[in-house]
Amino acid sequence: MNRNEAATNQDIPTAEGTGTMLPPEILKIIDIKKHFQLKGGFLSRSKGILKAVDGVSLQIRKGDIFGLAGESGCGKTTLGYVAGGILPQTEGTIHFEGQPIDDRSGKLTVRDVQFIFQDISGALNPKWMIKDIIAEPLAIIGETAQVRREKTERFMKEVGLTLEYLDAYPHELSGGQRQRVSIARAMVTNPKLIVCDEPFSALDVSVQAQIISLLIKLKRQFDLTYLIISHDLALLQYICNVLAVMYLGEIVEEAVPAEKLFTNPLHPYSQGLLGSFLFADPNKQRIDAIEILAGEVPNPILPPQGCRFHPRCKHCRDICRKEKPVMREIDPGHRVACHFVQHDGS
Amino acid sequence: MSLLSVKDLKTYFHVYMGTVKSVDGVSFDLERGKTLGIVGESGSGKTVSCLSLLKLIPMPPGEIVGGQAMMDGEDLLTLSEKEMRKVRGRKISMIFQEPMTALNPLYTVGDQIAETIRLHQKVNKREAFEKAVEMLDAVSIPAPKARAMSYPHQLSGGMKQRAMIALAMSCHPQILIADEPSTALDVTVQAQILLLIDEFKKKYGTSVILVTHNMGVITSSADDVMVMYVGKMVEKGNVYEIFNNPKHPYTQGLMDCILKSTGGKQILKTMPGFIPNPINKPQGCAFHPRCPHRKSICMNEEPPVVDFNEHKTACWLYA
Repeated sequence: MNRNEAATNQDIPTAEGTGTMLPPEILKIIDIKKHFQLKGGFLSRSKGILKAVDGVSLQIRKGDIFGLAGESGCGKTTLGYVAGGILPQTEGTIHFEGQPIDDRSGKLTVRDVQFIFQDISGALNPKWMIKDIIAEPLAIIGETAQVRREKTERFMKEVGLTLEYLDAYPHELSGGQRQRVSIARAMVTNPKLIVCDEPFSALDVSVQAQIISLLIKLKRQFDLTYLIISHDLALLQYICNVLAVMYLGEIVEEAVPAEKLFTNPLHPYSQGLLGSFLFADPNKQRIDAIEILAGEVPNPILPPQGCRFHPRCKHCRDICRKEKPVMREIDPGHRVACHFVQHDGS
Repeated sequence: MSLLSVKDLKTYFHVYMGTVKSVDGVSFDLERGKTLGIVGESGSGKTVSCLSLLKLIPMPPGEIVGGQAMMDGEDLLTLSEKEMRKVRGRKISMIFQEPMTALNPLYTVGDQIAETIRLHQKVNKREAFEKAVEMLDAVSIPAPKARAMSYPHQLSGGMKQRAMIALAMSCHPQILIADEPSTALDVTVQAQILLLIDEFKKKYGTSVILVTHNMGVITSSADDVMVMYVGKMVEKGNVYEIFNNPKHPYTQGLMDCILKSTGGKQILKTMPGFIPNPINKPQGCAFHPRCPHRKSICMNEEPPVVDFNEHKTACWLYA
């Protein structure tokens, strides 16, 4: 669905200010689609098209912590990869700091965008020493050995790793330390945007809290912008100032500040997701008392017609089966794609 | 009288580097029709405790060094392999984190459930298969007859976990051990699975041991909670007591670093340090290097278990 251009230029207050001077847009993607051709069987005939991301527009402003929530298979990781420039889009345009990235030698560079990946063991080359892993982006942009060493040591200290690990290999480190290494690696080139794909999901709770605090500290210190992809709503509520909820390749609801989406979720999917999420509080969240969203995410190769959420939606009516809802702004900064949400939020 | 009473369970692993005391003197009681949640970070021994009850520890390198697990007047830990087979699946069954690896990819789901039924009940093949279909229906799998003839890879993650529950519950065990049953699943499916376990618990009076590191899972489903830290119980009590009034410094630290749902902004505190190497555990209380209330005695002597009216904690602060 095509979110109209007018909406993207409106004054939306961010968590930092109340709309007087907005920070500049760092990343703007317009109507991005990413389709995968599925092949297999006799003579690699096409088995169908997987529309992982199907028409998403969003903008990330400088200093934002932009959260992307959704169930597995909704396309949030693919969107993160496309937005960060490591996966080419099928359709749509990406602007980085106001420039369409096709004009900037075709792609984003390691200087601008860095990634922190979910699979912390897989993201670090087991045959490389920590110092080489952290310095790799610097080597790519052609820094001298002297600069590489200085920056590696500096950022190891910034992320809370002692220098005794310089010559260690990834397997000698604990999960939390490995995640610190990938954060240091993402930081060395002073990027403007860091895409974090489920950065905490493989970690224990006490380590998770340490890594969250580290990311917040680094953001303040280096004026960073994050795109955080996660299914952990408690975490997104804690850390994000903008939140978008994805379902089957589309954004169904977006809110600035993110708190609006938590206090007043408008899309039935967001309501279901929030209702099913188990926040750690025994005083209000017993399993037999909460309202759980029924069903599972359908097969993305054959997404439902009309509103993609309609087979699971309890408010589903005829129009939902036929017509795709358009993204509308319900109140300033809060947009939703649903036929039935009114301006009073009903 | 509790259904299962575990006393001083010790399971060690003898490895090249030394001895890992994965479970080092854990005691708990499981009440009929209640859910006991076991929480702890990785390496705390929560899974090994459960596997020890079913004697599913690979031996060697593992060894159940000591302890007792009394159920129906017999000690599970002393049973022979042949006797143990009658316990597994009938008295106690277990569901695992990764349903794909727990189900056999070469047999249909219905056949696998029927196999368990035939092992423990005197029924013929056809009756067993019919019962399997009934079980799949009971776990709300749509079109159970067709699904019974499906192979595991044809089911989604949530469906596979439902099929695992059908398999585990097929002989109406008294105890269901659920080891991270919802970790690999999406939030909505996770809640659906936990609700399903809760319904079985209420319907058949099954007792559940729920092992997880996810506090949301514990708070939503457990009646009692045991918190573990490197092989030992640090605190145990009613779920409300543990969350509203944690006594052990480790539990308190854990509560500060989990994100609760609050309208206002919560301040996230972090615990210093990290989980110690299980081969070289600190002397005395294993938590003392990270503890803000450390005293000299904590570094030398193991803390006693102090009982505050069914809320137990192993800490020198209260001794």
